Amino acid sequence: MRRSGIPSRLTCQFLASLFVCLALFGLPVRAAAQAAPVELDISEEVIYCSLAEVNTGPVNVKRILGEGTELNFLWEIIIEEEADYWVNSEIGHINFTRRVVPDIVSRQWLLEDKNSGIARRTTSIDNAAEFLTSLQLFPAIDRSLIEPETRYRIRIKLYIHEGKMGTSWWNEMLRFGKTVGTGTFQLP
Amino acid sequence: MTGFIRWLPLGLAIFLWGLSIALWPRQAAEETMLLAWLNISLLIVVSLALFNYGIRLLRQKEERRPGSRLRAKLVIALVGMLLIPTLVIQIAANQMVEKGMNVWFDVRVDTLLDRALNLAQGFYARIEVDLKQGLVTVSNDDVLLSQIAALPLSYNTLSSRMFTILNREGWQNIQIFDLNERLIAGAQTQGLSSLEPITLGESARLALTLGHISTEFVTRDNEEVAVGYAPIRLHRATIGLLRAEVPLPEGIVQNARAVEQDYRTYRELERNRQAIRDTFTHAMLFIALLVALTAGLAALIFSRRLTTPIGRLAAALKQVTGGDLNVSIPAAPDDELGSLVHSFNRMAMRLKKNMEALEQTQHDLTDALSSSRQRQYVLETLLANLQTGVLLIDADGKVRLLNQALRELLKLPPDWIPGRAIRQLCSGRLRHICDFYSELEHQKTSHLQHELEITVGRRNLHILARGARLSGSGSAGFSGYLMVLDDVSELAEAHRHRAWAEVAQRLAHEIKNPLTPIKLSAERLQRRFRNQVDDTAIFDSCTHAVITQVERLQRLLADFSTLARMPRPRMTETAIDALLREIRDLYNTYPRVHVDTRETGAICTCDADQIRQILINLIDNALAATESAKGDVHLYAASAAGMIELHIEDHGEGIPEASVPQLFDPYFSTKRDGSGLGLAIAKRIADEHEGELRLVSAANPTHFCLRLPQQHSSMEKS
Repeated sequence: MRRSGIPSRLTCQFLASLFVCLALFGLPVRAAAQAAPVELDISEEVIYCSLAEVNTGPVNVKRILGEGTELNFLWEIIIEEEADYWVNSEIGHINFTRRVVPDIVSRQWLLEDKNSGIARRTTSIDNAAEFLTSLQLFPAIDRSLIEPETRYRIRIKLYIHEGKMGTSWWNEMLRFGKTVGTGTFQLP
Repeated sequence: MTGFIRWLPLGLAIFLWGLSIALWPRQAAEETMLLAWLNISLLIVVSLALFNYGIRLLRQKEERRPGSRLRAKLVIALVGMLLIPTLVIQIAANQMVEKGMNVWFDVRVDTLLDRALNLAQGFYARIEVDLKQGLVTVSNDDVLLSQIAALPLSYNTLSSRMFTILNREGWQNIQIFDLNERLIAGAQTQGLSSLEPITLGESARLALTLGHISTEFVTRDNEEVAVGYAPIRLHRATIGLLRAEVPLPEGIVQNARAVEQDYRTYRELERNRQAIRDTFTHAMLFIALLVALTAGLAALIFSRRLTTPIGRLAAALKQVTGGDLNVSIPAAPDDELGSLVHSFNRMAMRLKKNMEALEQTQHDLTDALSSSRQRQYVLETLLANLQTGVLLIDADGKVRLLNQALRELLKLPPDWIPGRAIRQLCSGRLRHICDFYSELEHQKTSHLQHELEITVGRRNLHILARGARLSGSGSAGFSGYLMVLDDVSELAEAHRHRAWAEVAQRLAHEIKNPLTPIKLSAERLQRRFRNQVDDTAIFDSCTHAVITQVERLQRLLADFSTLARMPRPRMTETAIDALLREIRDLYNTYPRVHVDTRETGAICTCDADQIRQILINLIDNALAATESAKGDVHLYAASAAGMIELHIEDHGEGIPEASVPQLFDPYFSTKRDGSGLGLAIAKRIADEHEGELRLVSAANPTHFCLRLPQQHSSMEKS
């Protein structure tokens, strides 16, 4: 027999679970709201993507580089074919890493693209920050993989690692890239 | 207190909910995300568990299990005892960490590190400046330029010059490349062991392309060098590239790099100051939650072990209070509680045995009482329905009990009630009862029997009184006198009648014997000597008188015998119509006798001969009564309510009123020569047929009615 004014256990558990789910659900919604639009350049053979502005969040890139801490930017570009009532199917996935190693004594910064292995030095911290944060005309996917009149979604995720990679394995295991850019496209 | 305990889990749950919201991980704090989510999850789980428990507590107001309150208090006490110091420690530790951080990240430390870094940077800048100056000087060295420009190149001269420059500038290595980045000449201080091909980097290409002097610092395995690149120009055209290396002093480099490392570490720590604080807080919170959970679980287990026997004891006590004595608490630990449990079990068993004994006793008593009541009821019913009068007198002479039969038998006055003294009640016509009581009281034997004559109304009843002295023993025994009074008047009369009948029969037999010879002698004398006597009239009168009186005596004796030896009726199905026709035929020669022979169809179970005898007797009496007036005699039948009525009416002399009460008595007759037994015999026959013969009216007309039942189930049927 229910007593008036006191909800049942089942009701309370349901409300608590609802609260937790809403709280957890708010995270991706909030994250999606902070993503910038991705600019796409579709050529005959390759589709290039650009991100005008990257929101690094609370990470102050220049400050960190100026204070001598190595920064690694792990980029992830995902291209998916949109589905109306089902999960999107992934057709392309690119990972690349850009690294800047500061030498504050000599006021130099080593810029390195870990995928290609190309490295250069710069004495300008702005150059170093731009090297990390800019994404201009990056080849995302071969056009031959894209079907016309099909809607596709592109997501760009970024994970920022302070310090040398491989020193805090627990953080690297639990890294969740933040979506910094989203966009959709459809070939005619 | 009870209300506080009941609401405490709910309050704690809400507090933990609020805490989890307050500690919700921020987006920036990615380093502490794992620990934060762990704590949040733990907080939510604990708060849900507490919420669950709190709701259950609130809903179960009256149905709490025994021991649950004690358990709750124990758990709260134990958890509180551990949690409060833990929280205090956590707060203190947080304060210490805060203070420590304030000390570690003091502005003076900040300034110190900045200055140290500035020193290191200044050193490197100095090296760089010196190197650039040197490169400017060397790249403008005319001798060197002329030697480079000379064709063919004189490697010895060039090397010699380069060595001179090397020594002058204090460089470690100097190299000259052509525009195609091929090494033309070089000089070094390390010797051939460190000779290795050098790939020109971006800085070198920039210097070559843009014509600027560029420098860079290169770290090798065991040293750090400053490398400078300067374009070699001749006549405003770049003809080559000059590369120079300056080794940095190892000690200063180490210190500089150490300063750089410390600065970097410090800045990292400073940037993560909040994260460190959060990590510390979350770690301490995690530990506190673990401590609380562990303490709670341990407290729960311990309190459960402690309170379970107490709870069982409380439940068992409640059961015993409710009347259920079939309780036994299972095995308990070997301590004071166990001893308490054993004692309780023994007590319950003893109680149960005592209760069973009491119940058995009660059952026996109830049975005894029930049978006693039954006996009393049977006795009372028996006494009430007895036809015999019963009088019980106690030892004090007071009436204890008397039944209705006694009241009706003796027509007792209303003051005859239990509690009255018998001697006061027995007065007047009832004095014989007192006399009987007195005799019973004083005689030696315990039983007495007498016959008493007591007047009841206009009748004298012959009472058979029997008495017994009751001598009860013990507290439940009754001492007194029991008197039983029976009306034996009819029995006495029957006995008397029987006695007289026997006497009469014998007398009749003795008298009847000589009557026949007397009659025969008188008849013989009349026949023999009638013609020989002088006065025949007197002779005839005398002999006729003798004969007539003898005949009368004979008739009297015959009637007497009939009365004395009345046979039992032999019942048969008799048609009343046929009986009436027989009577009509019998009195065919008597015109004054009128018999109604209309068909009634009535059948009666009776002895036809005896009924005929009654009818003949009544008709004869009627004929005798109407002899002078020549009145008619009517006989007719009727039936009503299962009875057959035979009516005889005559308009004769009638019966005097004074004679009516004795009409049916034996030997009472209104006729001069009647025996007085006819109506008595007729009444007796009617009685034996369970019928009735009564005088309806004594005169005008004289009306007799014989009522007979149509069926006799108890009498013998022929």
